[in-house]
Formats: sequence, C-alpha cells, structure tokens
Amino acid sequence: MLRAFIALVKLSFLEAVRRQVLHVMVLLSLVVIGVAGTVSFFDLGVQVKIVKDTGMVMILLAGSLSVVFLISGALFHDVEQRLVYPVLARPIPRGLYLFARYTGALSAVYVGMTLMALTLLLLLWIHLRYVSGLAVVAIAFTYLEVALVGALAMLLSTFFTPAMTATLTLFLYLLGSLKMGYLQHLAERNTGIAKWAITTISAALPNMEAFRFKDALVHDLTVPANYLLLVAIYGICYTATCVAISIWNFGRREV
Amino acid sequence: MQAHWAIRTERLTKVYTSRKQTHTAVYDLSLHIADGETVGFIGANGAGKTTTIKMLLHFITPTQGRAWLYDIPCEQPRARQKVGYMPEQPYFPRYLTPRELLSAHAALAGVPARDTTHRVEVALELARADAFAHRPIGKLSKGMTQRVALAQALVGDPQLLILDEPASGLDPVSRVEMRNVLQALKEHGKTIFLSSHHLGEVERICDRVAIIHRGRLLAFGTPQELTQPTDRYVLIAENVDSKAEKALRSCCEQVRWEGVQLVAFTNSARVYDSIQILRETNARLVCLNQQRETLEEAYLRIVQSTPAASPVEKAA
Repeated sequence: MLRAFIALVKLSFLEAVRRQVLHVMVLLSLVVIGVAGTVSFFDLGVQVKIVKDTGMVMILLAGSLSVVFLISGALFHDVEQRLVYPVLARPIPRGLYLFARYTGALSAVYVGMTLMALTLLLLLWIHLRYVSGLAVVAIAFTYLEVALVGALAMLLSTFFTPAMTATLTLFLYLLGSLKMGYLQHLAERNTGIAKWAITTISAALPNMEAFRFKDALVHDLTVPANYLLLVAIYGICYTATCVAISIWNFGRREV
Repeated sequence: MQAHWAIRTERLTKVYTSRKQTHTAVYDLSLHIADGETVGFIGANGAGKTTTIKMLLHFITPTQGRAWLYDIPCEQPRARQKVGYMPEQPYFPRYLTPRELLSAHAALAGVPARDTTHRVEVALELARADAFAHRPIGKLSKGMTQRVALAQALVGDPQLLILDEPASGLDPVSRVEMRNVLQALKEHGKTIFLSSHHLGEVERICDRVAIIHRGRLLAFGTPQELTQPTDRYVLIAENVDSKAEKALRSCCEQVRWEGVQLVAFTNSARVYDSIQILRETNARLVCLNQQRETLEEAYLRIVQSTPAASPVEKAA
C-alpha cells in the first residue's frame, strides 16, 4: 500500500509542478523578495524589517494561492478527463487516492515555498550575518497554514466545481483571517440565536491568524513554546479533519 | 460452487434520477461468469454496458442488487486485486512515457518492486507496445494509446480482464492484432469480460455472449446457443459439368467456383432440386451445410423481437 501511495503522490506531484500557475507564483514571489532584499532605501534596521515582512507575506500569499488553484481543480480534472478510472480500478481505497492527490500537490507547492524561504533566509543572513530561530519557526507555520488551506480546498472540491471551490476557499480563507477581530466583534454586538450562530461559525472557521508569526519576527518578539505547540496541534487537527471529510465524501461519490 | 465465479451479479440495477426524469441504465442484471471464460458483452450505444462495468469496478453504486468479483463484494478494494481494466477511450497523463505509466500502475496493482521492470516489459511486449515505450503518451496515435491501455491492464498479471471497447477506433490491422492478443490471453487461461460493438470479433473469441438492450439482459449463452439455423444451405460439389452448372445457376441464389470445387448457395425450398441435379449429372457432393445466423443477425433478431415497452421503461 505504501508503494501505491508513493506512486500516486509522484504522479500528483509531477502534474502539479507542470502547472504554470505555480511557476508564475514562485517567480513573482522570488522577484519581490529579491527586490525587497537588495534595493536599499532605508537604514539597515528598517530594511531588515521590510525584508522579513515582504518575505513572509509573499511566501504565504504565493503558497496559499498556488495550493488553492492546484487542488481546487485536481479531482474535477481527473474525473472529467477520465484519468481516475484506471487508478480507481486498482485494489486501492479511494481515500488513499485522494490523500495522495493532496500530498502530491502540496509537495509541489512546498518546493516553491522552500525556494522562497531559502531566498528570504539568505537575504536575512546577508544583512544580519545570522538567522533567528523564530524566522524558521514562522516559515514552518506558514507551511502548516498552506497545508490547511489546501485541505480546505480539497474538502470543498469533493462537493463543488473548481471555480466554486476556489472562490469558496478564498472566501473562507479571508473570513478565517478576519475572524479574530471582526467575527468576535459581531458576536459581542448580537444576542440570542444570532450570537450563537456567529460564535459557532467563528469556531468552525479556521483561525488563520493563529499561524502568522510575521509581526513577532519583524519586531523580534518571543513566542511561548506552549502557544506554538497548541497552534501546531490545532493546525494538524483541522487539516486532518478536512482531509478525513474529503475522503468520506469522495468515497461515497460516483465517478 | 460460488467460488468458481469470476464475476457474479444479482439483480443489478442502476437508476439515474434527476429533477426532470428518471433513467434506468441497467435493470435487474444477473450474470454468472466462470473463471477462465471469455465473455462478450454486446449492445447498442447507451444499452448499459459501460454502466455495468462501472458498477463492477465500484465507480458507481448500484441502485439495487449486488455484484461480486471472485466472491468479494465489488465495493471492497480487494475485489479488484485480480482485475485488469482497460477503459473505453483511455486517457493517461500525456507527459509520461508508457514505461513510466506502467511502472506506476505496477505499484498500484501491488507488484513487488523487484518484479516491476520484468512485469512492465512483459506487459509492453504482450500488448505490442514495446516499440514506442519511451515516447510520451501525448505524442502517440490512438491505436498506440489503446495498446498502452491494454498493457496498463495487463501489468499486474490479472486473472480477470475487463475490457471496455478495446478495439474502438482502431484500424483493421490493429484490430486483428488486438484480437490476436486477446486470443493469446484466453489461451493463457485469463478470464476476459469484453464489451464491444464489433460482433465479428466477439463471435471469434468469446465462449459466451451476453446481449444487453436498454439496460436489460436479453440473452446470455454460447454463440451456438444464440444463433439459429437459417433457411440458407451451402453445397460444395466436384466433377460438375457445364450442364449441371447451368442447372444449378437456375435454382441457386449464388454459384461460384473455388478451384475444382463448385460452391452453391440455396434455400430449403430448392436444396432437394440442387441435390437431384448433382445426382443426375454424376457430380460428387462433397459437403452440404445448413447455415447458421451470424452473431450480428442473431443480435438484431433478439433485439428487434423485444417489446417496445420493455420492463426497463416500465420501471423508469
């Protein structure tokens, strides 16, 4: 079963790395990070802050958009193009296929993100002659956030068309990014069922802000290890839940 | 007894329901196919052939009834352990070469890593796809892609082959080659479930034939059982002189020479007269055969004798 999984991940990865959307995102981000790190407008302290800020934003943005566009249409494309039939005619569970599809596409995005991350770390090292541990941690949590966004896209893609999936994923992503501030504020202003509904929605939405340590990195703040652990557990559980629901829904679907 | 069935379906039914209409794609289909058999599954477009195959491979779920592959319910992945499937109009990643594709499918079929190279080469050779195994699939012709699809089905060394229109879109030469490959697989004891429009091919290689029409199984038996004797007779005679030939031409539908033998086609009303002519002219009757329907004729007869409002429509 492991060989089958690896073979499927490889096929999914090979398909994803050939997609132009990934190439464009990675190249664009590398250019922006490179420009932010090499063109000097400010003194060193401000310059480093700009490099950290721009670098983290670009890694997150490029990673998230790439994973949404790669995963949103993956299943639909496989079914429409009938690529899925010879694979599902093999003695493998559908869940394995879906998980491998997700893992392969995510791996391709991670390759692009790693290029961006290495560029960012290299620029920080050039400016500071050292790289803080928090920079690595912040990047690692960006990876986790992208995995969660990908899982959300995979989940929605088992219900909707690629366009609808991409739109809904980006909408939920934005809501998840806003939820700490806006939704809690909304809940406080309402009472009764409305308050309960907003609180439930707020709890069900992924808390994207929790994964972002850009500000701590830019301002050289320390983040408690316990908090990091909690966020990591939250991210892994949320991602696993999305993937599990995707597997359940794809398993009962007709292809 | 059940352990002998490679494919078993019991009252398999598939109904597609939308807001506006209900369509019964397959109705009450019960099939029992023994291990080692070659079975042709024939029917018009939309008769329910591909839907049946999709239910067997659990791509879709039956509305009613059940299906088993080697006595394992179809919904379980391990039911497909012994299966090789060739889809109608196969699509594969265009950037992969056939060899790369087959290596991936060998892993999916559970072939051990140490055997993969050997199995891939054997499958490519069996499907006559080895000559272009290094070229990207996107650059192959339709016939070549069909062969790659067959190689893909064979790479796990399956005991049961489910082939959905394997000769679809192939030129006559490729079709003959495909038939020869299937014949060879049959001789190796493989079970073959062959969905096809090419009734001549089915008649040549299949032990039994299932006829499906509007989702309903109309007939299932050997070609001998499905075809009926016709009114046509063929006589083969030697030592036929010109007088006898002239007389035969007047009472037979068709007369032709094949070397020293005269072959005459006639019907039941005139067969006795033809024999009399041969006797009177001292010609030698070598052979007299009552002709049977071709599978195509039998198919048309069976399908046309089906009532217009079949149970399928009633069920719908």
